[in-house]
Amino acid sequence: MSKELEKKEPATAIEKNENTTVLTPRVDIIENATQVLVTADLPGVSEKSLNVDLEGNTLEIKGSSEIPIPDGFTMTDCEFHSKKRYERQFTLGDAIDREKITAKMSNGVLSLVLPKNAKQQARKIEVKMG
Amino acid sequence: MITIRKPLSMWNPWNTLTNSNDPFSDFFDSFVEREYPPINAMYNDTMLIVQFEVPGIKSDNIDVRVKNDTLVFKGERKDEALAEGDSYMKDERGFGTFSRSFALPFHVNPEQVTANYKDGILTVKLPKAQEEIARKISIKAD
Repeated sequence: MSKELEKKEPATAIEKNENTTVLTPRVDIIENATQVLVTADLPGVSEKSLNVDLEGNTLEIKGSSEIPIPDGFTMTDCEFHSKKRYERQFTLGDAIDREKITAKMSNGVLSLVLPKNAKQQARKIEVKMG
Repeated sequence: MITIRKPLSMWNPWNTLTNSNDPFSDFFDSFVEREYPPINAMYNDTMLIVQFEVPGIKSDNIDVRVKNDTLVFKGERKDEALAEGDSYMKDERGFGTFSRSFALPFHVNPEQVTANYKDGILTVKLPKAQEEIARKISIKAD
């Protein structure tokens, strides 16, 4: 991923704050013959506060969410963390074409498209009745 | 569709954040069925703010109403359409319709309520109706 290097900096900034809750985001993973689609719920995470890093076979999602409480307001109900991080790692199979992975954030949902190598794509084997 | 009524109590708050450092609290929390979507609510003298954590919904599928001093939220997250040959390797996110409603602690003018959806967080701002804002009454001394 081309943005890998420039994205490292905010990740370090996030790690400085040790009081933040770390959650594992829920994901759906859908596979077909040509690609694997990973969809992750990251509510409160904007494109800027998201990191997707690929190192070796490990694809890591890291995102931070901070929904500030405005000055002078008193919290009365708290059912989700206003400040948190999301982290999850996936191990990629050999079939995934590392160069063609794309990521998109929309409404707090990350969509990762992991295309398979053309030669490794599953072929349908025709079975002949003998 | 499931409608859950839970009053937004300002005077007897239960605050899950206060227990967040207690590992047992997280453990026991896992047995409690939570209402969806989770909310954070906060107030000052003139306004109540309710934040809903609802990722991945189109604004068209969110319905927020204030009627008779009740805030009603309805939403729908659509299922992913699987094409032929697609199969789930993991299926954790869930989909469907959901709603929550809250008795408001003060009168609200529905026309002044605003809702904004960003990064999967819906923020609803409910200003107190003008007649609810306390005025200081000057005392005349004879």
